[in-house]
Amino acid sequence: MRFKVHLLLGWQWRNANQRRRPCPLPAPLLNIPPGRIDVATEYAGSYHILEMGRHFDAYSARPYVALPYRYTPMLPRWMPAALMERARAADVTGNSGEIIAGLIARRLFKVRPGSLVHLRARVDRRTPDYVIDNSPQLLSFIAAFAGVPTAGLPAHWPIESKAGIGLLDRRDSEAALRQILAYWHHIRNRYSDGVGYGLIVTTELTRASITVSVLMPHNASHASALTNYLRSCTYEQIKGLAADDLPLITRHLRGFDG
Amino acid sequence: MAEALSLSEAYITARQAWWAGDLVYCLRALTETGADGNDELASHDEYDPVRLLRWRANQLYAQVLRGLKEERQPDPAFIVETRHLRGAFHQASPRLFEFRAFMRDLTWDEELFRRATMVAGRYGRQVAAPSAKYQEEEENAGTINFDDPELSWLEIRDHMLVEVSISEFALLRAQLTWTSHVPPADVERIHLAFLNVLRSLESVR
Repeated sequence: MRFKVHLLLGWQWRNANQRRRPCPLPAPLLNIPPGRIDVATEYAGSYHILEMGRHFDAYSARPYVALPYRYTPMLPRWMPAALMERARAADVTGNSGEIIAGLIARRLFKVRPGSLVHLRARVDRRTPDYVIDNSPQLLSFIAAFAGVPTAGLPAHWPIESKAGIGLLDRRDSEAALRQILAYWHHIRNRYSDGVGYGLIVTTELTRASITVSVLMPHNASHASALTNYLRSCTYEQIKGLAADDLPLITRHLRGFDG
Repeated sequence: MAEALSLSEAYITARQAWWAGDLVYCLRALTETGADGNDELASHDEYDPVRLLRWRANQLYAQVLRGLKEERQPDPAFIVETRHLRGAFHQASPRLFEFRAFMRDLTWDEELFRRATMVAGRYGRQVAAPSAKYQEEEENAGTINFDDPELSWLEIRDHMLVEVSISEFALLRAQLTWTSHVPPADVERIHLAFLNVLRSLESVR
């Protein structure tokens, strides 16, 4: 299965229901054979799924056909909806996104296996899927892409993934942003250099599309303002931030148009 | 683990050993992180990436100790080790054995991928050709292809069919299917088959 990869600074929307604008850069293609997914899932997938590669292959296919049941017309009045097909399991789809985020880090950002730390969520706290630890390759890539010097970029980056079957909408990206936001809140005092920076990898399986959103502050004063805002809030306040209040955060970040 | 590892490398080595089922090596790598099973950090509200790692290392340490207490460490006969690689195998069914291996030294990753590509080349690549649709898209869009070497191969010899694949995370998984009517008489033959997989990676130039 080949996926087109789109790179964005932040995210852009025409309106809440429309697709983000295409990336001006040529879209790289990421080839993901099912066999690669199997081993990666055993190591970094949150859910225990056997033969994940086969799921991934089937879930990415369009149209999706999962052993449709043969309809037997018996007692028609008592069968308001015969089971004709099976749905994709949301957790399996989510697992795909998690693995693809890891593959993006490895192949696109050339992060070495020893620098890609897979995290597990705390019961009471949101946590991103990965933290990249000291990757010069990532820093050079981001610096070239965003047109900023590597010197100002943090050494550690959180990555959050989201995956869905068809078109993902703004809510999905916002959900991912909230994971990263929780991470920023945790590091606000002890590692404020990392506040405002992160990556969101969004995978649309049947569209064979991956979007990598690079989060970064406009400049040092915005980074500082964002850090101060986070310091003024409790974790519960950040966790409960309404969608309408997200601009309090995103106005400090590059590439957001509301 | 002759040299002191960085915190993230030690933690990731431990995680990979845990994935392979090699609890003893996992514990050894965790010791390099300074983990002691103390979960005090769990109650903290503030982190930095290093503290986050230490917290996870402590959690894993406690898990490993529980696993060792429950005697979940494989017998030494099921551990396979070479200079740069180490792994453990188990019997999934009477004729199916699964082997999981990881790098003892994570800085060997590029070498591992390079050598795996060479070994895969010797056994014959099994990559399906891209479909016409994608080829056309690629040509029209001026796309950039990621470096995507084939990292899986198949070995067939002595009543054994061994399928090997290496993931992006530099983890090796091999499945051995015993193809004779008579089951393997001892574990040594299986051990040797998996050892040969690792040796082929160590010795290829």
